[in-house]
Amino acid sequence: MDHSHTVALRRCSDDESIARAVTLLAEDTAFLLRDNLRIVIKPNLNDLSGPYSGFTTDVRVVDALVKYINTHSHPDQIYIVESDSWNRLAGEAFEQLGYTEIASAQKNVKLVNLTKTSGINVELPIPSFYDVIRIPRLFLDANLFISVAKLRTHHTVISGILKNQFGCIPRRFKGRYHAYLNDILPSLNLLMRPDWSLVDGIIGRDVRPRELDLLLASHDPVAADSVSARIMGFDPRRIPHISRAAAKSVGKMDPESVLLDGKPVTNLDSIISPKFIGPSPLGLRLTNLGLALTRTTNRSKGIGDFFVKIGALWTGASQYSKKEILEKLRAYGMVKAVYDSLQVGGGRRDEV
Amino acid sequence: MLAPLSDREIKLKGATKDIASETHLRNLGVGVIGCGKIAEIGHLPAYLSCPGVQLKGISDVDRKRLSRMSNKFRVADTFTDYNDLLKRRDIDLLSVCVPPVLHHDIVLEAAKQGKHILCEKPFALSVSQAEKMNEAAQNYHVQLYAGFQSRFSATMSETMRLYRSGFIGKISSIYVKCSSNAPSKATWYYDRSRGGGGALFDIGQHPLDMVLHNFDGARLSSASFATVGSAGIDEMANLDLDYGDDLKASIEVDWKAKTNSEVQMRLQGAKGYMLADIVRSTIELKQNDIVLGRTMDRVTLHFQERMDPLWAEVWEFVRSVRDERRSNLLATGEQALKPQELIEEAYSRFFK
Repeated sequence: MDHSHTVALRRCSDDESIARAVTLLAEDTAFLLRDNLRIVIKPNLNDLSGPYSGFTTDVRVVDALVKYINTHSHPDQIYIVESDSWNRLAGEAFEQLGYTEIASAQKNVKLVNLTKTSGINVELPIPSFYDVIRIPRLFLDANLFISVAKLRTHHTVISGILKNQFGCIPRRFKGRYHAYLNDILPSLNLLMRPDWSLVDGIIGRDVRPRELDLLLASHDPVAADSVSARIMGFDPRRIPHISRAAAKSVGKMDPESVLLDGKPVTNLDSIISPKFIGPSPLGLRLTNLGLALTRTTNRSKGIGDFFVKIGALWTGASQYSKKEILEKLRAYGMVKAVYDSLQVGGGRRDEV
Repeated sequence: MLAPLSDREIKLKGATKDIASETHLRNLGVGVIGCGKIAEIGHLPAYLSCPGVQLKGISDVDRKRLSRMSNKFRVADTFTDYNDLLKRRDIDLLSVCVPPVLHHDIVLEAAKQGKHILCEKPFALSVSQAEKMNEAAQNYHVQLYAGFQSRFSATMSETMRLYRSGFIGKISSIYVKCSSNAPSKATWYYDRSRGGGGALFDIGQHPLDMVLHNFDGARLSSASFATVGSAGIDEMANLDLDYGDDLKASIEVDWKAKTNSEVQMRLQGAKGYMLADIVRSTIELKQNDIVLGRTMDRVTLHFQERMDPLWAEVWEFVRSVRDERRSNLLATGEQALKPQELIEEAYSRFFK
């Protein structure tokens, strides 16, 4: 049976069950490995909060994945990658979230800060506000790409596998493209389509952390995100980056089969209850208005760009509690945070 | 009265740095023989912006052009006879930018006067002339280089770096295309005794150098031409080269570009292909064993040339003279013989 569009779910909670779930998910989706590969693993290290916040990929999932790879093949090198972002450095995240321990325990594992590696300018396959993007040269060398995302909401409605590839862009370009995620993500996933995807839903994140005890895997990033959206209570057809990625043949929105603990499941609504609340509708409207303005005339591009960024900031902020926002701003500096989020003067076309 | 410098020229002037006062070295004196297009857009501004050199004199038979160039680049000493320029003792190095019929005599005389020479392509009218030029340079201990600026293209360097790293595996074919606008029929380009040949002789030197410099050991397999006029000047040429070990190269040259010039090199390997476009500064690639663009027909990488390749070539020439070393990057007179020999062989086969 062809498992290229199968999505598999497994329930797990402790270290042992996570390791077992990763192995079973690989079997469910027929994830095969060969020797001498250079493998890139991209977890979602959104900030420095631990997995209990629901924002960052649980290190136990990546640890189990690395052990699975090393048990079933002899890779040349495994790179765990992340780039710096406005609120933390990749090195800090690796250190504080326990990834350095994986690298010290496994000889062939290397932690890579993608902001510090050399990059290359690549033409976006689907031109939008931008038409060239800078991505790390590592992807010219790696043979296998595994994306390990988080089951959580975001200003693009959900942050899943498709959005996780955005973390591969060097820091100085992130702010510029972040508001245009719906346009950029289908292109990025055509350029860097993960060969296998894992979604960490052990603790998910809505406006607060949610204990879900779920792991999800698929070869198809669109199918994985589509199922993630459905089980969170969102319609993937109404999530622009998922529907656009499906339209551009990154993957299929309707997976051929969904397996829960090895058995086919038809009613995805019953997996999580109650459903997720999702991002602020006002912020989404502002973003959509801004995007419409950027596409109308050259004159309206600037004001449109501003609305897009305000909208993204608003919806992004709606994912945090007031206390968390204040903590983040205190740690980072309020003026600099707002400046970085808006990327003042950073919206020129072709400037890469 | 001298005409004011343009903004660009002022910028160039500003970039000029007098390193003599810093390093206690004498600034090198430069002369340029021939003030046509290649001197105006390439050699003269490159010398003007190069640290540690001073433009001492320029020479051309056309008084009007000489006067215009003298004003534009603020060169006080102008000569209608190049011998007068060569007699100047404060000139250490010079660029020869005249039609190829004059290269032999000028280079011989310049070598005798102890000047280091960067001679524009086509290097000489014949192999025997080129050999005499090399012999003279050797006898008088001067450096002699041919102007193949495509060697200094960042796109070309990246293509060869990827190829040498085994990116596309064992190479099976090379295809190079070079196309430019047809020169006016009233000029020396259409006079075999002055121009040496047609499109192959004029612009074919670039693709031939790109192939022969990077892939040694080619033999001419076949040649075909499309000629114009009674003199039999080729406007289009196709050369097939054979390497004997399942590797073939094809070179296509024409004077038929409608708008912009084209210089492209396509390398087909066992694992994929690369198409370098020197004019657009892009590499189009497809390689199935890497993550980047696996799901796409092709990926286009964009490069930013740090410096115009012709300027980089001139600067490297200055550096090699100042450091009293033979450059590994520039095409030496001996290396310029290889394309010359192949062109002569192709012409002799076709125009018996």
